[in-house]
Amino acid sequence: MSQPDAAMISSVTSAAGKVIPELVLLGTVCINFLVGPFLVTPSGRALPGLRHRWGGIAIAAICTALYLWWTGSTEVVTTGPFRVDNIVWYVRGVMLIAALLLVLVNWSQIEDGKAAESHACLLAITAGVNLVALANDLTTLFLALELISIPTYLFLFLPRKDAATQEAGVKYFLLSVFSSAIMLYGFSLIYGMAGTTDLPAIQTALANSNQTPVLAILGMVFVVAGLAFRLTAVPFHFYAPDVFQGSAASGAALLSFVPKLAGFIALIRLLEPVVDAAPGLLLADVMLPMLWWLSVITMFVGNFLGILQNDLRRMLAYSGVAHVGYMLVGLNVGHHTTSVPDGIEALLFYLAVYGLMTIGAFAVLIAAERDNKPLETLDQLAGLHRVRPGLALMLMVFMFSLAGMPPTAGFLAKLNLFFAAWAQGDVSNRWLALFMVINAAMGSWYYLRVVGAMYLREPLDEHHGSHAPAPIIASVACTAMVITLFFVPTWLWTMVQTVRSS
Amino acid sequence: MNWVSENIALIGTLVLLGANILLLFPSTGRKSGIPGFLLLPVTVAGLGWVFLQPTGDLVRDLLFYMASGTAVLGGLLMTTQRNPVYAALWFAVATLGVCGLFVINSAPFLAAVTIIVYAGAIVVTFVFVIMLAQQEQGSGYDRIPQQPFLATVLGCLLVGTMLLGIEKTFGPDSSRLSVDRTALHVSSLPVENDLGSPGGVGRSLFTDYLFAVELAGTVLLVATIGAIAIAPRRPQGSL
Repeated sequence: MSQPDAAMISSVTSAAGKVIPELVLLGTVCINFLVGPFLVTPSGRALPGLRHRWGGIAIAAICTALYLWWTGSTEVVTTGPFRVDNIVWYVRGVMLIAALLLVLVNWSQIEDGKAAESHACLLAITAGVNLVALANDLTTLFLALELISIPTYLFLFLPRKDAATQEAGVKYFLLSVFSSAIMLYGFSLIYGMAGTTDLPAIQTALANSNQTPVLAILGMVFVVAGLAFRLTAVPFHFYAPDVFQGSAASGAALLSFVPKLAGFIALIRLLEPVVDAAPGLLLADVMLPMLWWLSVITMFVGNFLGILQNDLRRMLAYSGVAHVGYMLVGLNVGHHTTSVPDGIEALLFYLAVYGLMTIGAFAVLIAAERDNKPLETLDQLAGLHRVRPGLALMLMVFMFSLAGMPPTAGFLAKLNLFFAAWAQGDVSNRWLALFMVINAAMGSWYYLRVVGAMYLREPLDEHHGSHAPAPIIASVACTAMVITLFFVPTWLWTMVQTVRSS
Repeated sequence: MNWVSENIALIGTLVLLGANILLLFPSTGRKSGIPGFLLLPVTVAGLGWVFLQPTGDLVRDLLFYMASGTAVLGGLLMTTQRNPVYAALWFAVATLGVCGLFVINSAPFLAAVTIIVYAGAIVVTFVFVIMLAQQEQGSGYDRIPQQPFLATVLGCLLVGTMLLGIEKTFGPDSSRLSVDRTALHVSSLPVENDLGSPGGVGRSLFTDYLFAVELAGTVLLVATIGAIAIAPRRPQGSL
């Protein structure tokens, strides 16, 4: 064997060592896919209670990955197929914990016969999000994003209770394929400009260029448009309310957080080399005004339409749109590293907190379901505190947190973003901070309406709903974390702060 | 205004292209597509006149004109066909034209793969779907475009932006971005003349892009099993 080949093999093995938690997850996916079909009858039925076993296996796999993540090396590697730095470390932690919560949320939402595939999809999505953060190459980044999209279609489609679920699944599928195509077009333009798909090399190429890289700008506009579909940023948000309304509550919980996490991480990764490399050319002229407008329009449209909704899941979909607007503020101010707190740090903090409160809210909605029919309108929550006082209290905490009121972590997350935008100093960014405050006030209208319905109105009937433990465990865990993070935010904040130090 | 007079040839061709597409679009009122077809050679020639400078190598130029003309013509007719089956076939023709361009630019492997994947697999899938899903006469949205004018204007604007961008980046009066290949992590970047050959592609796939290939395999696994999982089952069993 010649010397270069030996070097190649050793570099491949060392790169494989960086993705061990993801390999554990994907290995479990294979086991689920291979064993699952043998445990159901040809007509698709299974022994009652089989979903508990598949849920247990998923939890075991995620806990193993969490253990490997916690004990793994934190050595920073910036070359090779995978890039390992503190953002990867942080995203892995957030996503694995979110996956644990989502497994619990999904527990009772899926039939026994389809539990294996459903949980496998969840694990594949988790691995995909981690790989988005790890990707050091446009090809790997695209494939990792597809490793999120394709299992997501399945995850939405598998419960398949009625025509609305199917419509939601198909709608998400078509728009997601369309957005992937737009993004891929942008990637190919960037590749055509730089002649390589390697992200550090693209950065070098842009840094050495002495003229405006027009193709890179065009490419980045396409990429941002493609990723905005995942983020549900306005004007790419229109599918979100329909899909949220149609899918099972677990699917809506997944959609409200995971694509947004992946989209923001991909944007941070892509904007870093493409924008930072050529300050004054790309950043100031095109990308920043675009992100600024995207952020402002997303905030206002999300909150305006959120106020008009009576359907709970449509309301939460628009609430997600508005929160994406807030988080885009962080991305906007994130490229001026002088300000304290840094925009990207505030964004990452917000993402984690937003995940906790939105998954928690959906977990409560699942726990309050009656006869396995999802809650639809606000009226069905009327008087919840008489019937299920614990659930009502937890939902109130999540609504306060989404509205950004103390004593919840949502308040601190918004405060961080506000300070990041204000301290940065530009007039345009101070406007962003002001718009955020106005929107937070507007948003609290529809969050408080939920609280009002639960506490001030009389229950329509004395139906207690189900007492399945899994969604209740998930919502209790989310409530505990949302409140704890208000009093001890430094736990999360110190982790976030390591991100920029590398 | 200065900018407009500088780029008058580009703008003129794009307007011609847009008008041609609008004429070719099927509509309820006008039955004849003859004016559109008559204008077609003019449009293609105009595009060629504005964007192609002969390199001096006669055979290469001739092949290039043929391949790119086929691609543009196929694309135009694909978008404007009333019958979806014809549209699928014109798509195959456009793909063949693009493959010709790949061959001229010494990427034989890419050309072969594109023919197999697009002209083979994808067009066959299209035709299958059309056969299975098509009712008598096709549905309304297949026959008449909904927003022909807006779609044409937006499409031509996009084409114009891309052409300007490409001209600014690769045109005669641009200094192309140079990538410092030593800065890449790749240790086995194929030498220039090895770039498009099957050997070069294979070497690069299974060394630098090994993990991407594995990841693509995982995505395909999920998609395959998922397609089976969501297929409706009959009550008596068997898919």
